[in-house]
Amino acid sequence: MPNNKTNSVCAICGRPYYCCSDSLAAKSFTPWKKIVDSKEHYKIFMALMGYTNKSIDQKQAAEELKHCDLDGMEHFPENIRESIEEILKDSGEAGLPEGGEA
Amino acid sequence: MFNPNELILQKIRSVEEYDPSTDELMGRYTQIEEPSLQTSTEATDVTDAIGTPIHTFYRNSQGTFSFTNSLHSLDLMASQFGSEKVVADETKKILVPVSETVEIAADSTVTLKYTPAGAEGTEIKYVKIINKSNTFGDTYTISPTSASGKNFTLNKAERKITLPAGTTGRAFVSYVRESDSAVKLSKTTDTITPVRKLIIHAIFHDPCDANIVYAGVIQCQRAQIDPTSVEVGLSPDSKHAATYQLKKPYCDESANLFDIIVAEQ
Repeated sequence: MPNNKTNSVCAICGRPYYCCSDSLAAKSFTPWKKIVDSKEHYKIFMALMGYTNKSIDQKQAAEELKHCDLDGMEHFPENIRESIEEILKDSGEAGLPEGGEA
Repeated sequence: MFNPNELILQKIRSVEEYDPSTDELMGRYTQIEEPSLQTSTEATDVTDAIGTPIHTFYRNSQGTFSFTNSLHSLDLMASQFGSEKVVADETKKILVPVSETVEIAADSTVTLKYTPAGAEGTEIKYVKIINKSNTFGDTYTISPTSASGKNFTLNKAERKITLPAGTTGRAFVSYVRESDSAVKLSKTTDTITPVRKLIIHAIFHDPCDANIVYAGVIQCQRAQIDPTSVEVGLSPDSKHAATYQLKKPYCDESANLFDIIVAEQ
């Protein structure tokens, strides 16, 4: 597969990436590759989705985002960036939290 | 002494497939049409110096049993595919693909019939709009935040998809769901049809008094569905045909391809 071949767009950072759907159909430990390009962005996705669907409150969402790597957030699509900023707004977290877990 | 010659064959009542090593019943087919038992032999001529045949040796006797089941049989398909039918239960669910075309509600939401399965957030990646002309329109992609632009959100617990405000028409959604009441059979490229024992039950009538019924059985110790060509018709009026190649059991001194047994009672 050529290095420059991409067929998906990350739902968090908006960057294109390559995802083999056949490998997802087989037993895979990386089902998140269907929608995002990294496990860190999947953690962000889960926090934002839980907040949007009201299954977690702002405080819980902020706690989850605190453990995520938000590097490059300034380049995220507007709706993602605004949602993260809204969650972190009143949580006492100014600017970007420290990097996520390894 | 019961020694019938001419009989009236009414019908083949059923065909049963057994595992030859355990005698476990593997399949039973009861809607038999056009059953046929055929044998063939290879002929080798011995000729004289000018090519005139003077004797023929016959070797390589083989048998074939074929029939058409009026109804499609999943057990017969499992035999034809060389696979086992997987039956779902509470502890072992089967993923069932679902495709829905749903009217978009006034609040731009779509409610699914089933709960989509899959890792959280990855259950449904795309939703396509169907135009009034029945052609595909815009494609919307899953987003964890808001339904805007070309994004939609999914609330799995409520089975609800939210599209951007003002989206109307019908939405086409493809996903999988879990079911504990389903069966599945698969055809893989590295399996072949198993060898079975066949017991074919027939009903005969006495030609002098048709009210007298005799039980007939055709027993094939080794029968294998011919894997070189298997066709399963998929139209409403198509039936389910199967052909078995009959083999001699290696350990059997009698070398029977099949036995036909007719009992008076």
